[in-house]
Amino acid sequence: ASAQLADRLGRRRDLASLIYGSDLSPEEIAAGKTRSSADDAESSRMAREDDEFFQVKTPARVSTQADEDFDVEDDFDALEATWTDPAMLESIRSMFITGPSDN
Amino acid sequence: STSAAQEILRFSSHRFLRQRLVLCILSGRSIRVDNIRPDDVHVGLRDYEINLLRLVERITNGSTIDISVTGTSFVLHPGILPGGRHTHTCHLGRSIGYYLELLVPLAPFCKKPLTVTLHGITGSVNTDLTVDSIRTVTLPHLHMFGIEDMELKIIKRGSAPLGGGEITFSSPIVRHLKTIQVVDPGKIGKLRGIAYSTRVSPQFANRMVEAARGILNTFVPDTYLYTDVFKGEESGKSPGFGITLVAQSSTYTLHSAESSSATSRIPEEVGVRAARLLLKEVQSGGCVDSRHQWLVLLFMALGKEDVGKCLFGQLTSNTVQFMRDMQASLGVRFRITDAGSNLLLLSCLGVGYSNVNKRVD
Repeated sequence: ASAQLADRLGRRRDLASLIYGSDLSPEEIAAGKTRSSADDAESSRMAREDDEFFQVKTPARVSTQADEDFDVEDDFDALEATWTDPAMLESIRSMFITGPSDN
Repeated sequence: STSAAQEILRFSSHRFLRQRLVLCILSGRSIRVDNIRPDDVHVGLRDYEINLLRLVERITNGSTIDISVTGTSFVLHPGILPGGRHTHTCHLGRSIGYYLELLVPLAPFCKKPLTVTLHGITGSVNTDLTVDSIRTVTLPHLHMFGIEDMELKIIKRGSAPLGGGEITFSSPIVRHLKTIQVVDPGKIGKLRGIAYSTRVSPQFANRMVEAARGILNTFVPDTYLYTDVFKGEESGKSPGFGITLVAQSSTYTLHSAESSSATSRIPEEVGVRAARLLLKEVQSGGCVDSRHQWLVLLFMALGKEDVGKCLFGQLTSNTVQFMRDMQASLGVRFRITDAGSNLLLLSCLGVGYSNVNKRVD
């Protein structure tokens, strides 16, 4: 878990170098990867678990038609599952004027 | 690097075409795009993309566009932007919003104010922005740069597949873009929305509004969703409906989402989906709507030679590619700082757009 955390922190720190200095695809960078999927072979099982974990929060998929400039929101079941979850709804309350103040 | 400026810029694939055309015209640098669907059953440029290139020819003076026989590559030598009045019939494979996303970033840099009348589909095709999104989300994003007088009038609505809609877009010209320091997302306090319909029961618009309201009411009491039902001659050739939602914060930042009959024929489902997509968009955070990240970054890059800053949520893949393309065409590289809570502070030194424009002759 700590390795994952470090990985994520590292990703944030190095976002500019990933964008300007790596061969990662824009989709890979937007999805939070720090290495290309080709390099990921040995940790693919972990990556899959990661993916499942992130699916819940980020159901957006890359367009299957690949004709779009923006990711198509076509997974409406995932959208519904996420945004009927009381914990998810609660997690964004502080972003509204009606919500609790964060400090 | 004078020779580098003259060098032709090369891009690959059919994707990100509009943003690349915008960069080509604004930077005054020729582009060559290769590998346009080389392995597809239907090889090369789509009709709606060729229509887009025709729109580029229409609004510029002295552009030359050479498309290869197979349509898998083209070269564009950009001309200047004279402004003035133009009329264009958009291809029905995409919405009018798809074409407006090319015009909006170019319009302020014309020699004279630009007015364009577009015919086609005012609603949504695939993920294209509707004209309602352009009017209520895209244009307000440009207020922060000092561009306040752009206007979009919906004269006739037209849904997919046959369209029949008509809009007029007009833009002033600007001398300088304001350098922005937009770092406070504020708290969302207002919710606005438009439910539109053509050639269906007018009740459909009300049903979308009620469904969306059911989900959003607990978050924002100041909610005003209105219905915009076009009838007869002004409602185009096909039945259709949809809803565009816009959340505004105390610091005037915007987040938006929309859904339409393209994804469901049941008005309640369309309303509910739009509302949930809006919650997801709000969660992504920052001071910029996800689908407008590229536009804000472009105007930051074109700004005066001063450092602009803006707080963003998670960057989309489209934005990542656009940042790469901007580095290649304008030589602008953004500095990215982790601002915590999944937020990113992006800053850059503007190139000064008037310099860019003067280089073209």
